Amino acid sequence: MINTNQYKTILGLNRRNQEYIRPYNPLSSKKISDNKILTKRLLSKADIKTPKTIKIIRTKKQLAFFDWESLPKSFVVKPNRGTGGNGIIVFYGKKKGETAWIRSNHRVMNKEQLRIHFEKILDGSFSMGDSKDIVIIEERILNHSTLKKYSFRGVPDIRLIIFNKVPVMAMIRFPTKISDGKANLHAGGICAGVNIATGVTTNAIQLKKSSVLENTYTNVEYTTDFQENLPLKDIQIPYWDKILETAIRCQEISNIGFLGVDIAIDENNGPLVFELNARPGLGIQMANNMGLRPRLERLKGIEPLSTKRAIRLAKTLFGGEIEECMQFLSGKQVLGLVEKVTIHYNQNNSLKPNKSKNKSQTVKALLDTGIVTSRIDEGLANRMGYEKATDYFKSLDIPPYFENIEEAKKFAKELKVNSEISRPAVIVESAKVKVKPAIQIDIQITGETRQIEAIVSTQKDTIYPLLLGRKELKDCLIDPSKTFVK
Amino acid sequence: MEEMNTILVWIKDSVITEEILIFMLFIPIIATLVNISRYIIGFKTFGIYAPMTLAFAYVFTGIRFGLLVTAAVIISSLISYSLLKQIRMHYLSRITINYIFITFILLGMLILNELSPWSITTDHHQIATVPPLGIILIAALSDFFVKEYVKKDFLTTIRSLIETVIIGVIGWFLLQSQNLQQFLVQNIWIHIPILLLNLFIGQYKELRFKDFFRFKKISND
Repeated sequence: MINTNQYKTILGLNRRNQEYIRPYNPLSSKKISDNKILTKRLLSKADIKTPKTIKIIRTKKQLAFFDWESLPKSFVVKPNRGTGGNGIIVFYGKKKGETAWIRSNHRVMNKEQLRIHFEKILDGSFSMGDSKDIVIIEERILNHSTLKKYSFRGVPDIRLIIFNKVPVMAMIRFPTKISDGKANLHAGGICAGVNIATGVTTNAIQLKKSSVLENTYTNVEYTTDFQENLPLKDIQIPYWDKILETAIRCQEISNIGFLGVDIAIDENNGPLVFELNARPGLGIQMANNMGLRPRLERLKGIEPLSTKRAIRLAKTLFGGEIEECMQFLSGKQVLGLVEKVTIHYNQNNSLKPNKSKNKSQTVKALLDTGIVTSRIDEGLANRMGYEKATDYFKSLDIPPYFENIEEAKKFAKELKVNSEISRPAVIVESAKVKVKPAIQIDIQITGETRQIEAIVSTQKDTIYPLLLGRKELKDCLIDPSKTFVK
Repeated sequence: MEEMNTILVWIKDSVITEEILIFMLFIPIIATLVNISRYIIGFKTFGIYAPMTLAFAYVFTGIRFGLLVTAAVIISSLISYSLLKQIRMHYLSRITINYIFITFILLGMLILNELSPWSITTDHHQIATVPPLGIILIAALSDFFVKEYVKKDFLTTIRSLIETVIIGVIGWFLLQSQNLQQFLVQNIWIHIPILLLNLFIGQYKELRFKDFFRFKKISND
């Protein structure tokens, strides 16, 4: 039996089409992404680098008069309106003394074979719909030295999903021996998830078995085709911030709200955009081992941000591994400025709560490094079964406030209280020095239940019913830009 | 309801034959079947026309003979595509040659079937009585198959083909059911809930059944 709850985070094709592609990708913008020549022209106008075009062949007449000798040693042939990498051939060299070029699989294609391939492209055999197409011949990207050692005869490409101008998820695809120089997952390429914040690879997968029924994928830890295979985790992708910036700018220019951007890194020219995709595939979720839905939901309806702010937001929202890294290095947990804390009902209270929901209550707590002892709102303390203690303290003859802290401390030291109260504590509340009761309460934070001392106060100065002081924060690091990390 | 029945009786008597009426009433049913198979199950058929054509074709040919013709069409398409791959020619010329291959391979298979002791034809569907329209409809599958095979890899194409044939067979099963035929003719209103069902599928956003297998790995991890 399928447990559908486990799949709630996954974005399926139906929801992708209904909720993201139709509302956010207008038809005019899809026309841009479906046309590589138009995409290149638009991106170049905005100073975004794309692979340099060597030749364009639009008709069979042009092909008849094509100067084959003008082709360089290495180049890439692709259809203008191709999909899924169909019709793309990469040539790495020219055969000496012949009009023939060598492919990534060492096969040689002569002029006639290449002409047949060009004709197929012009006939629209590899293109969307049945219409005629155009042949694009462009320069071959020189693999960046950092990524070269992970890719087998091909250039890895980085796919980013951008939504509402914010990078949502990323992966890098490495060509392998099986994939024949192609980086596609279904062709046998290795796909690794990339942490949005750092540009470092996380989890990697590869096609395990392709059968008539379905494709199955497996986790891979090392490259597969080299004498010395390298780990696929923790690869730092060069130019990461530049890549994020380029991808966001691609969305601004193309106006494709839910966009897949494919970027390759050239040794000499840095990141080059080679494709925009208005219907990005969903395999990126498998490479990252997580669903896209929660990330996309968080970005719905946000106001357009500047590129820098969008990058910062993406890193903050989706760069979860920074916390893990910090926790690993410091041995301390990273918490947000505000966290959800569950307070348990006072076990010593003989009056048990009537409703089961009052046995514990979850509240927003401010992690306040400006105070030593934690504080709890009087109303909350009463609801959680400490009303006897607060009523008892009120019955004592205590001045409403003191002139100074010394006077209050002296009074508190001499004050005798019963066992309901752990001690009378001196606090400054609404700019007045007061003596308030401190009680022991049971709370649950980050999954761990513990007893803490909290001073009962009116909490007039804050909207939070619970403030956690320094005594309770010894084993934590606080990230003030975040809330509800745990 | 009474008025609707009167209209139906008039249509059957004066406009078209009952057989054509049944076929027409089945068109939305088979189209809905393809719709469900795409968006609820996740089958990628060769569009909506191919599985629908197959379902109607199998009614003409009988299911066993129909599947034999389907197999012949696919095998001959694969052979001709592989042979012609390296030869320069126009797209339509290639498809035409493909049809020449299909015709003769099909003819060969029919002769073999007739001579063979393991003949699959039954008394109901002797080859001689099979309407040629059924065979032509199935042969059109070759067009869809080759178009897909040029753009996608072999396994993806075979998957789409199998899923198309499965829907075609289910469609045939519904089409030849006498009870369902009578039900549709007598309850033409059923097309209103079918219309609503299609509207619902049109809005359906949840995961397709096949997505549960596709993303099983993420869920398990």
